[in-house]
Amino acid sequence: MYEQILGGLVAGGVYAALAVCVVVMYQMLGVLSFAQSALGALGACSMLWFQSFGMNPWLSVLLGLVVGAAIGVVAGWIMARYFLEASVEVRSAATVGFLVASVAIGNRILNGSTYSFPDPFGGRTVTIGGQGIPIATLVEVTLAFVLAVGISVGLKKTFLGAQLRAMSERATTAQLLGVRVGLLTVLVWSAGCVVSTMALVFVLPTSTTSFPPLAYLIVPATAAALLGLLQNIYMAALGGVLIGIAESLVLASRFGRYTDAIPFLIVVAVMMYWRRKDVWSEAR
Amino acid sequence: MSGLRRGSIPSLLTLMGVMLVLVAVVYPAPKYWQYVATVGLIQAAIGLSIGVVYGSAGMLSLCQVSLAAVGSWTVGYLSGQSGIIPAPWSIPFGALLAVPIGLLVGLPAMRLRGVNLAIVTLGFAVAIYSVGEAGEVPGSSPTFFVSLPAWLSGKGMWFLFVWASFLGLAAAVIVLRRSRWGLTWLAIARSERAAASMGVSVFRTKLTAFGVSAFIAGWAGGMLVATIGSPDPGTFSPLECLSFFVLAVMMGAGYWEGALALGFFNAVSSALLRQWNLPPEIGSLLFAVGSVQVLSAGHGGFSGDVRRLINRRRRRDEHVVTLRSRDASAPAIARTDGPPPAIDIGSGLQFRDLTVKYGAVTALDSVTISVPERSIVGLVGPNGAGKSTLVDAASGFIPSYTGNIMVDGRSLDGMPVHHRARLLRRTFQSDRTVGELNPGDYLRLSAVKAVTIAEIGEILDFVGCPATRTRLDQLDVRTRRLLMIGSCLVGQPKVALIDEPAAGLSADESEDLGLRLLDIPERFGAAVLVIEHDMELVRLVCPTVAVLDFGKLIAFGPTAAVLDDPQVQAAYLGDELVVPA
Amino acid sequence: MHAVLSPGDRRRRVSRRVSAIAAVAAASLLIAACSSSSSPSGSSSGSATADIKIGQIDSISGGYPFGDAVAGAQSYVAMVNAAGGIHGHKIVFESGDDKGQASEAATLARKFVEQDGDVALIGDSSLPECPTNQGYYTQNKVPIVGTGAQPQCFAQPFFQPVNAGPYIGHEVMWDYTFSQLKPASVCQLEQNDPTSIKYYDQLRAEFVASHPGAKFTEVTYVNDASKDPTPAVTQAKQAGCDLIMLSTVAPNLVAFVKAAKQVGLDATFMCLGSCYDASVPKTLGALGEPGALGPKDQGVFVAAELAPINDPSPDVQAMVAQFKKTNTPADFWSEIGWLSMAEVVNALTANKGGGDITTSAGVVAALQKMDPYTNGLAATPLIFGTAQSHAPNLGSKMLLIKNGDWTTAPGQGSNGFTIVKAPTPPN
Repeated sequence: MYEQILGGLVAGGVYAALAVCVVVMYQMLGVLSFAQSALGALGACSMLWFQSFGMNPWLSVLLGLVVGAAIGVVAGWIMARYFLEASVEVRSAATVGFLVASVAIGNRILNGSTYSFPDPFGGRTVTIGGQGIPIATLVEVTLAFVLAVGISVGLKKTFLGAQLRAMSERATTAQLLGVRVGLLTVLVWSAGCVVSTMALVFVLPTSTTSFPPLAYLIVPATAAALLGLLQNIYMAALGGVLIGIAESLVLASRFGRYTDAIPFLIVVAVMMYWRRKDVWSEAR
Repeated sequence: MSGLRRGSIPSLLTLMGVMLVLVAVVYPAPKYWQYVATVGLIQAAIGLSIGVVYGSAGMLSLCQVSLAAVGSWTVGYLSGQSGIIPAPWSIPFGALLAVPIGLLVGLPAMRLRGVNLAIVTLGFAVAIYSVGEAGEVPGSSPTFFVSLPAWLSGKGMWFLFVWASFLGLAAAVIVLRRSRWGLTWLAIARSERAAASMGVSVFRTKLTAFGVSAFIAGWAGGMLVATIGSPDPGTFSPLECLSFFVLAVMMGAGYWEGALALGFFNAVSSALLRQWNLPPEIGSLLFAVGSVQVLSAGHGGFSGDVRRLINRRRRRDEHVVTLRSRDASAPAIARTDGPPPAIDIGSGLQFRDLTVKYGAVTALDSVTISVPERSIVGLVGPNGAGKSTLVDAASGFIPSYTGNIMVDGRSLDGMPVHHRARLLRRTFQSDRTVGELNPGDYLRLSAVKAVTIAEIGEILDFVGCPATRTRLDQLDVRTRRLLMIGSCLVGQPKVALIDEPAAGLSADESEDLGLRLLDIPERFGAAVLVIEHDMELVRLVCPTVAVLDFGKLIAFGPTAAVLDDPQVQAAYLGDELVVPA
Repeated sequence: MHAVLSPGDRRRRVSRRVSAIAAVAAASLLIAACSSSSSPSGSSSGSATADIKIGQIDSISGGYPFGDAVAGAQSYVAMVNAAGGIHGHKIVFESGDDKGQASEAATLARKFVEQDGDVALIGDSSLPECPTNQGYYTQNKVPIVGTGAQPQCFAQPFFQPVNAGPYIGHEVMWDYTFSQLKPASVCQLEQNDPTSIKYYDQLRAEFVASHPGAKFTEVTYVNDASKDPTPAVTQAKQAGCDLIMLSTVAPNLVAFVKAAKQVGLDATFMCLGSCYDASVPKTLGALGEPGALGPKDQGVFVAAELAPINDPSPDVQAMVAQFKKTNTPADFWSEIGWLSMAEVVNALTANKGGGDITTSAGVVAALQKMDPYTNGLAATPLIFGTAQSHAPNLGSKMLLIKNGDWTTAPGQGSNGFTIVKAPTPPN
C-alpha cells in the first residue's frame, strides 16, 4: 500500500502542477482552459526537436519552455482579441478549439514510434522505504506547491498582482483605469503554458509517448482544481496529489478497470458537500 | 392551450417542410449517401438533446453524448447480446433507461452551476467512457451484432425510420419549448430566484430538462448502434463529448434547425474529407478555427443568427413598442389622508417581530408592518436599511429568521419559495424577465395555472402593452418593468411586493406608473407593498408608509405626516441638514 | 484592442457570417452530389483494360500507429504497376482513416464497396473493422486481407489476417517463456480489451492443461496502459513477478521498462508483436540490454508476428529495397500492408478461380481457390480458402534486444520462427 501511495505521486505531481495552472487561469482570466495539458504537451514535444541536435538535456528543456511560452502568447492573443467581453462559458468553449487543434498537431508529431524525451535528471531515483521514486517526481510535487505559494503571495503583495486581480474582477473597468488588459491576458496565458509545459517535462521521459493521453490529463487536473473550488490554489495542488494516489490505489484493487472514474467520483462527492448550501444560482 | 398550439405551428410547418425536402433528396440517392444522411440525423438528434439541457435550460452539461451510450448499450443488450427484443422495438427501451441515468446526472445540477457543473459532467463522461471500455456492462462490448429486421433492411427503409424519429423528436421539442415545461426551462436559465418567485419549482424544472434531454440522447444512441451494428465506446470518448458540445453551441442547437444544421455540417464535412482523402488533421484544424470564430461572435450560434436575421427582416418596425397610456377616463382612486386603515388585515400581509441576522450584522430588527387587504402601503428608507431583505424574507429566500410572516391568515414559515408564489408575488430591482419570451408567453409562464387569452389580454391592457410577438429583450426597460409587475398580477396573488418600480423612469413615466399602481387593489384584489426612493410617487400612490432605518422600523402611518417627521428626515438626510420645522 | 461594433456593423457581420456558412453548405452539397454521380456504385464492368480497385481502412488519427500500413501497400502497388499491373490490369488503390471510430469505419466500408466499387480491402489495420463491419462484409461477400486484432477477426469467412494475431502471439510467448526462459512467476498485464480477455482466459486454461509445468502465479488486468505505468509496475513488483508479459504498443513498452527501472522492479519484459518498432532499442539504450534491470532480467523480448526488417530472408530484403525506393518507413505496419498486398496479388496473378479479376466475384473466386502463398515475412504459408474462419499465420519470431538492436532470440525453429498449433476459435 505504501508503494502504491508513492507510486501515485508520479501522476499526482503532474495533476497538481496542472491544477494550479487551471485555477490561476480561471481566477485571472475567467476561462476554464480545457486545452492546458495539450498545449503544454506541444511545448514539451518541441524538446524532441531540440534534442535531435544533440543538445544538453537541460538546454533542451529550457528551449522547450520558451516554445511553451510562445504557444501561450498565440493562445492569449486570440483570447484577448476576440473573447475579452465574452462569458466564462463561451471562453472555455473556445479552448476546446485549442484542444482539438493541439491533438491534431500532436498526433502528427508523436505518431506511434518511440521517442526519448530529454531527461534532466537522468532517470535517477531516490529510494524511500524500499521503493524507488524518481527525483523528477519529487521536484514536480515540490514545484506545484512552491508555485501555489509564490502565486498567492505575488498576487497579494505586488503591483502586478493588484492589476491582475483588478482585471479578473472587472476587465472593462480595469481597462478604463489604465490596466493594460490585453497585454496582461497574453502574459498570463504565456505563463500558464510555461507552467503546463514544465509540468509535463518532468514526467514525459518515463511516460508513454502518445499524444491523446497527455491531452486527457486535463480531466483529473480540472477535477483537482474543482476540489479547490476553482479558488484555492493550495487545495488544488493537494487535490491533484490526492487524485493521483487514489488512482494508484484503485488500480491495485478489484476495480482497477474503472480507474478513470475516480476523479469524477471524488469531485462529485466533495462538491455536493461543499456546495450543499448553494440553493440559488445568484447570490441575491 | 390554443395559444400554445398557435405559437408552435409556424415552427412545426417549417420543420415538416425541411424534412420533406431532405427525404426527397436522400431517399432516391445511393445507399452510401443514405448511410451518411442517417448518421447525420442521429448526430442531429444528440444535438437536440444538448439543445434542451443547455440551449433552453442553460445548464452546462457536457456529457449528453454519454447518455446516448446508455441507449446504445440497452439496445445492444436487448437486440444483440440476448436477442430478447429485436431492433427497432428495443430503441424506446434504450431511451427510457437513459432517463434515470440522466436524472442522476441532473442531481449535482441542483447545487452546481456554470463551469463547476461542466467539470462534474465531464468527469461523468470520462467515467461512462471507462465503464464502456471495460466492457462489463451488458451490451457494451462489441462481440455481437445488432441486425435490423427484414422489413427495415430494404432500400432506404432504415433511413426513413431514423428520419421519422428525428422528425418526431424535433416536433416534440418544438411543442415542449412552448409548453409550460419549456417556458420554465428558459426561466431558470435566466434567473432561478425570479423563476421560483413566479411559482416555478426549480428542482422539478431541472429534472424535466435532464429527463427529456436524456430520453432524446438515449433514443439517438439506440439508433446509432442499430445503424452501425455494434456498440463502440470510442464514439463516446471525452474529446467527442467536448467537441460535440462546442459544435452544438456553435450551431445553436437549442433551436431545432440548429440541431439539424449540426448533423448536416458533421455529415457533409466528414463526407468531404473522406471524398478528398484529406488528412483528418485538416478537419480538426478547421473545427478549431471555426469554433473560435463562431463563439467569438455572439449568442445563439448559427441558428440564433438566422433567427435574428429573419426577425429583423420581418419585424423591423415592431421592436419599438409604444405603451398605451393609462385610460384617462377611468377615475383615479383618490388617496385619502386620513387615519391609518382598520387593523383587520384580512387577506393581506403581516410581518410580526421579524428579525434577520447575517452573522454579527442585524439586517432587520423586530420589524412589524401590516399591509391590509386591498391596501397600498409604501416602504421607504435609505440604502442598506433592509428593505430588500424584508422582501426576500417574504418571498422565502432567507433561510432563517425569527418572527412571523403571514399572508391571508396563513403563516409562510417553512413554505418553499415556489409555493409562496401562490399567495405572494414580488418584482426585482434588476431586470429578471425572460428575454427569449414574448409578453404573452411570459405572462403565461407566471400564471402557473392555466390562464385564458382573455385574462392575459387584461393584464396586457392594464400594463398598456400591446399583444406583440416581439421578444422581451427587444423591448425597452420601462415596458419590461411594467410586464414584471404584470407577471405578479397574473398569478392572482393576495399580496404584491413591488421593488423600486420607478428607478430610471422620467417624471411623466413615474406618474403614469403610479396611477396604474393605484388601480391594482380594485382591479385585481391584491394588497400592494411598494418599495421606493421616489417620494413623489410614494405620496401619489401610498396612503400609508413605513420607514426603515438600519433594520429598525422608525415610523409607520399616514404618508404626509410620516414624511414630514424630523426623525425620518434625519434618517435620510443626516442630522445636520434637517431644517427645523 | 477589441473594437466595439455599432449595431449596423454587427448586423452586417452577422448576415455576412450566415451567408458564408450557407454558401459553404450549398457548395458542399453540390460537390458531394457531383462526386457521387461520377463514381458508379457496384462493381466495375470487366474489360481488358479495366482497373482492379482496391481499398484499405485503417485507424490513423487519434494517436494510433497503424498509418504505415497504407505506405507499405502503396509501395507494393507501385512495384506491380511499374511492371505492367496484373495481366495488364493496373491496381487503383485508395485508403481511408476511420479515426478508431465504429461509425466512421462503417461509413468508409460502404463508401469503398458501394460508392467506389472496390473489389477487395487489403492491409486493413483498424480497431473497429472486425467487430463493426463483419456482418456487412459477410453479407456483401467482400474479401479482406489485413491485420487481425480481436477474436472476431479470426472467426469470419471473409476476413483473413496475415499476422499471427495476439492469440497465437500469446501462445508463442507462453511456449517460449516456459520452455526457454523458465521464470519463477509470470505477471500478465493486459490492456483493457474485454472481448479479448475472455478468450485469453480460455486459451490460457488450454495451455496450462497441455503444459503441466506451466504456472501463472499472477494475472493482473490493468486499465488502459496509456496512463502512467508506475502503479502497474509497482503492483507487479509487489506480486514478486520476474517476467512481465504485455500486449500493447511500442511507446508503452518503453514507458513500462523505464518505470520498472525507477521503482526497482527486476524482471524480464516480453511483449506481443504490436510492440515491435525499429526505434525501441535505440530509445531504451542500455536499459534494453539483458541484465539492465537486475539479475533476473533476461532482456526485452518481442514476439514479432512478422520477420523484422533486418532479417536476412530474400523476401524481406526485397521489401526493404523497394521501401527505400519509395521512401516508405519500414516497420511492422508497413510490413503488414506489403504482405497483404503480396498475397492477394499472387492469388490474382495465378487466378485459379478463372474469373474476371477486375470484378468482386472474380477476386473472391481467385482467393478461395488459391494455393498457399509462402513469404519469408510470415512463419507459415498464407491462404484465403473457403473455410468459415481464417488464421493461416501460425507463428511468431521471438526477438531480443542485444547490443543495441533486435536479434532473433535463441532456441526457435529452423526458419527462426516459433510455430504453434492453431488455437481453438473463440466461442
